[in-house]
Amino acid sequence: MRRSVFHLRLKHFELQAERLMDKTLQTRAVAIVHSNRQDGKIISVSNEAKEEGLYVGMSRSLARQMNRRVLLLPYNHSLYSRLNRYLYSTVSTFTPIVEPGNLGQFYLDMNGMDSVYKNLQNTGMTLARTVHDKTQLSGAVGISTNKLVSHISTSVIPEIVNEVFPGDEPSFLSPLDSLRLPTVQQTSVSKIVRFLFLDKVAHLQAIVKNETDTHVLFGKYAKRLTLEAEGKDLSAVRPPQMKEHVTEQIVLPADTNDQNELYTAVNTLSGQIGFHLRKRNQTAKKLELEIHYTDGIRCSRFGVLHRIDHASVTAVIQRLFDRANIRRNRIRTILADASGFVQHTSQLDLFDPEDRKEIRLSHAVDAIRRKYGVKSIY
Amino acid sequence: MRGMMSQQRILSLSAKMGMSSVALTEVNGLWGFIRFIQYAHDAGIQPIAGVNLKTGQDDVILLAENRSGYQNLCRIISSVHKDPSQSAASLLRLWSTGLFVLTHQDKTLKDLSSLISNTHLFVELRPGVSEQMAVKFANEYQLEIVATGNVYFQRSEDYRSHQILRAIEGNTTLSGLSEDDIVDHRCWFRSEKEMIDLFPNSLEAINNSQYLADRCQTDWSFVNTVFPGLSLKETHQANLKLKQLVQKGAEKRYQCQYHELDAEIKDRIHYELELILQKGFAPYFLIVRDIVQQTKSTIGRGSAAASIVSYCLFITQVDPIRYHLQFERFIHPEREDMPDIDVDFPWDERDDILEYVFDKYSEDRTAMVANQVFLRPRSAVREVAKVYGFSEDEIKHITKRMGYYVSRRDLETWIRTDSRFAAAKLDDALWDVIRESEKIVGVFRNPSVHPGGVVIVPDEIRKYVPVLRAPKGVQITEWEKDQVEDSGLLKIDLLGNRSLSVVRDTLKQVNLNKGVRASSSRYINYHKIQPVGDIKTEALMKAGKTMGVFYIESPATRQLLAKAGRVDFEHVVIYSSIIRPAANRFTNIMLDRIHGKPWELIHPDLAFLEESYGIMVYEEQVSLTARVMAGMSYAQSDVLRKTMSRTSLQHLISHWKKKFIHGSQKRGYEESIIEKVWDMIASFQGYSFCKPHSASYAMLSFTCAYLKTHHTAEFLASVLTNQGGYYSAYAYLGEARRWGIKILPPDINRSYQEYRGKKQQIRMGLMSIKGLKDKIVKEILAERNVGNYRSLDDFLIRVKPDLSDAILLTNAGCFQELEPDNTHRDIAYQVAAFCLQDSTQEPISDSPNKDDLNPDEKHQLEISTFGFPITHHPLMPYRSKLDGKVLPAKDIPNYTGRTVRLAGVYITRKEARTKNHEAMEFLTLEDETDIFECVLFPDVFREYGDLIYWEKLFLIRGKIEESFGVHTVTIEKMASLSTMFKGK
Repeated sequence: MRRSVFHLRLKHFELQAERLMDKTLQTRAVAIVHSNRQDGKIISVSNEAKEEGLYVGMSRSLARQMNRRVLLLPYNHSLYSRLNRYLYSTVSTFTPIVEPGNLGQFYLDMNGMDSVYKNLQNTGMTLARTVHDKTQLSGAVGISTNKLVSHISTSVIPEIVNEVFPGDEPSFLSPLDSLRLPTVQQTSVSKIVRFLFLDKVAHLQAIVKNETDTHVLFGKYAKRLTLEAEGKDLSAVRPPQMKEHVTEQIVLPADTNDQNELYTAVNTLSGQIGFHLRKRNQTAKKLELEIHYTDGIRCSRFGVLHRIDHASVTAVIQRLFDRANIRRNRIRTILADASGFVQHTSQLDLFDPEDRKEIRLSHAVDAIRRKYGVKSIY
Repeated sequence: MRGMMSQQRILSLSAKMGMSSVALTEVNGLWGFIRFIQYAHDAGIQPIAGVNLKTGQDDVILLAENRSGYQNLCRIISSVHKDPSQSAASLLRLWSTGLFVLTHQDKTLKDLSSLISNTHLFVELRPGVSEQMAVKFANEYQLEIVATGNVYFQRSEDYRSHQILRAIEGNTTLSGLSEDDIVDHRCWFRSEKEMIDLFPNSLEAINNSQYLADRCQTDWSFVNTVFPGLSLKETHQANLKLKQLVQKGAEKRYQCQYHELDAEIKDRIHYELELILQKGFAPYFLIVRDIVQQTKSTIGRGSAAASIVSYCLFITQVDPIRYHLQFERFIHPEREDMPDIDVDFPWDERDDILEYVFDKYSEDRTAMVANQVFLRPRSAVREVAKVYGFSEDEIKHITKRMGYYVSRRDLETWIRTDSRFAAAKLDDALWDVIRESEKIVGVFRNPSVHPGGVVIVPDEIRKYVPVLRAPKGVQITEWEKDQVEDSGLLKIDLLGNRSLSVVRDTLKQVNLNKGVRASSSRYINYHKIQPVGDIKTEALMKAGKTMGVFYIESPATRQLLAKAGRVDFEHVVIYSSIIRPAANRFTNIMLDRIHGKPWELIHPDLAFLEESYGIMVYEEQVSLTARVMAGMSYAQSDVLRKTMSRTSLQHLISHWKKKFIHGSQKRGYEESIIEKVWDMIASFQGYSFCKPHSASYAMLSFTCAYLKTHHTAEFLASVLTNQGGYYSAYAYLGEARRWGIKILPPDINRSYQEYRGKKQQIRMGLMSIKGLKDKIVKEILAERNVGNYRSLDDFLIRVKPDLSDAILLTNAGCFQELEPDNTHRDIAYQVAAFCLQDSTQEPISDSPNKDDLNPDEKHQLEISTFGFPITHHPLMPYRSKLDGKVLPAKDIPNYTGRTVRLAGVYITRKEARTKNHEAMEFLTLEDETDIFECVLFPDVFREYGDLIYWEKLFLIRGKIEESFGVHTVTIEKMASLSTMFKGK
């Protein structure tokens, strides 16, 4: 029985997601900037933006200088994550083993599904169509015996479905750019590959025939590169280790760097996170506080929540906020993510504990939230 | 970065409110004291020297009672700059003489009451301090109370600007400011009545401030020059020594015995020496000579070039007799202040020279002059926007439309009306930024180091001016050059000049190529070159082919030279002076006159304008005109000259204009003539030069032009090595190609660190390889001294480069001549194998791909290695798509008056303003055949101006215009080549 792995790729996922949420963007020139850095690169462009001269990989500052008409959207991680989760649930109906890749990309292990799906290519087509019907997002499906080749297939073949048959992997990869292979993207490997003008996978296939040469040139990456050049990938499709998270995000009504307004927002965020934890009666071993500035740069700090009354949660989150907010730029969003939950236990106290008042207050506030919603109190 | 009121504003308000004295008490500084005295004098106010000393422990006001108090003030401030945590008591224990001390802090009063008598120590009652508290302290320590204004801003509503300034300095946001960062919101400018309203129970304290002011020194005078000099005996010896050195120098300069010199020369030396000695300047000349002696090639700049004494001491390089330079521009019997002697040194030797000066005269006596950086419109918007939390992109969106040197204050009106901002979309928050920025334009931001000004005093620098250590480690004065000069401190400008290094390196190469040492050469020696009058050199200048030539290489000057067609020394001196922004319109008038258009002197009394076609070109012509027409004294005319050229004195121009007009009318000159003459004087605003300075620079221009003419490869190689000049390395390589010089890539056996030129070739230096470490370059050269590398393996074994360096060297083509039979890929494979291989392993197989690089691969490789292509022109990838559609630049002269299409790569650009203050641009482009000049007039610039900010390759359509035989392209349309053909 042959192995078969599907790779579903929703091309320009971020752009499609933005257009899905805001129909007015459908005909506008739009580009998404992955702006973790000041000079963040464009990761997705609409055709209209392409016509204006923008391209993927162009720096945001150059794009701004070149064209003011193109709308440069910051990377909206929470939107893309939500949509990605929905997609995950959709594609999971095709097979029980689905591995999310980057946003908008999924590997599906179709081994042993022959009795359900007779024809792989038709199944691929159905998968793409189902995703489109449910989300209006267009995707492509690559089919091969392993994740690597299926993944590369969706990145280079424009058709909705493409299948690379077993044994055809080396010849499929051979004319492609070396950079398509994941190992070549390692800095030390790409340095050698560029230096030796090993532009095509075919060049690498010629080198990896000689084990010694490959080892000399690529050292610890030699083995991996050899497998990849020949289109082999032994890794299995793994379902995600589902981790529980409590995530809350506050989008400020207007971008600001006013500390009073920011502390108010932090306080609200603390209230919301605290509410969820108290509801679960759990503390969090990991709390991430992330600030999104208006220019797309993000700063985050990590902490631990040992106590879950409002004052304690607020104190921790405010401390993380102060440490994370190292810039003067205005802030657009603050996000808190708690994980690593542990059952909250506290020793019984014969006497009135000092923070009983705080705990009572937290419970009172929680009661209101339960009745009127988490965001009923600011 | 605390107060926003300018000194003039404070003083004019004080005068308006009937105040007689004002104390300037900047926080920990006397940054603007000299200017303050001048403004106070103009406003009829008595200036008091003081400081608001804020240390880590105390907050006190110090006022100078007398000169020695002033000196202690300078010492204390210098000490606080060094260690801001000191207590006031520890400082005043050392330096309290002549100082009045005011404070409102209990602890400080306690510390100081045992140290300073109650005649000099006072309780300060300032806004924010309660009257009861002041009375309590006064009773406790038996002291008088003195009320102060503690002024930071003019009106209470300006408080926000104060907060913004503090946030800028503290690198924080408005809400991030702590109470200690800002002053009380009541610290605004109050009249006497308002002070009484503020302190109704402290009339005595308010009166005390007047009594205290009366006790402070207010008659500040800094007219006496502080020479780095010596006792009377030593001065006498200095006089003798100077005479001897001048005589010896004259013999060298004029190649004869002193007694054989022309009478004219001897008379001039005698006259100058008499004045110099009479004014006590001999030690100063000796110090400058001593400094100049530290290197071979220098050039004296400024008015000192008019002195034959400077010439004979080899401080300057232009013979003032031969070129008719008037000594009086330098030193005049009536002149009160001492002009500086400014000297340029090769840029890479200047730090050594400064080190020599500091070593010889010690840090106690020496400091470098500061530059005072003030918030200009651009920096103000930038800083305020940061406080408001705007991102770099948002800030640049506005600031890129503002020139660096724009000095407008009406920012909001300007931005609303100027076409450059039409495309900028500003929201309410950004408008708020603009409005707040407008309020703080002109505020002192920070000091930096002047590029070369050095002050040397006879005893202790800290008693004349507060000094501090600049971030780069050097000791600087608080004052910038104008205040230093006006305070009587003697400044020597030791500036770095890249062209002097170019000359030095060219001569070195020429002598190396000829196989003779410079000292033994009869010809190629800096002091022996006689470029003036050389026919070939003049031909080069006439053709405007002066890229790389000092001072006359900008597109505007190259075009001026070509248009004028007269390039003798006197004319080049004129061109060097007239190329300044405010004199553009006179340049065209002069060109007409050079080409024979009849002209008459504006008035027969101004016959001294004959030498410059009736147009005022040199600073001394301004002074002379003022003396002749308005009857001003020498001193007055000199102040007028200074006023016109100094930005800090622009506010006085209207005063001097009136004085000039009034004086001229009185002497019977017609209104129309006075108006025309003033129009010429007004063109000196901003910056201008005296004739000796221009002559001095013109001499260096001629020297460079001579070297370019006769030793082109060596000269251009030196220009590239010194990374100097107006253009990029790419542009100079293009210029070399136009001269028929072949550019050779770096080679492991032939290249040095620097570029080297010989005959018709320039060998690129290893310095041209981006990212190549100095260490490996030194190792390569050191190992090569043992013997040339015989093969790639020989190199790899002897030098053992790491992989990164080896990759750079390979990509630069350094091994191509060593391995002529191998392709780039083969060489790269060999290099990688060597660098990565363990010594015990067998050699690896050959490269799987033996093809040589195709042109496109080579092109990309060169760009990534050098930053520009060297084998092919940057237009090469587009040429096949452009063929037949665009004109080669060399054919431009054949299409005068016609509209054509051209392609070009960016060389340089210059933004300018029309008469109506609309932005326009001059753009220089180059294709494979020639370099050409383009103009974007306002309409076109509005449409395509932004393109020039990010694109380097252009396709243009424009009309070819001709003026005095020089062709330019007036652009009508332009597009980005790289975007146009992307993906096609």
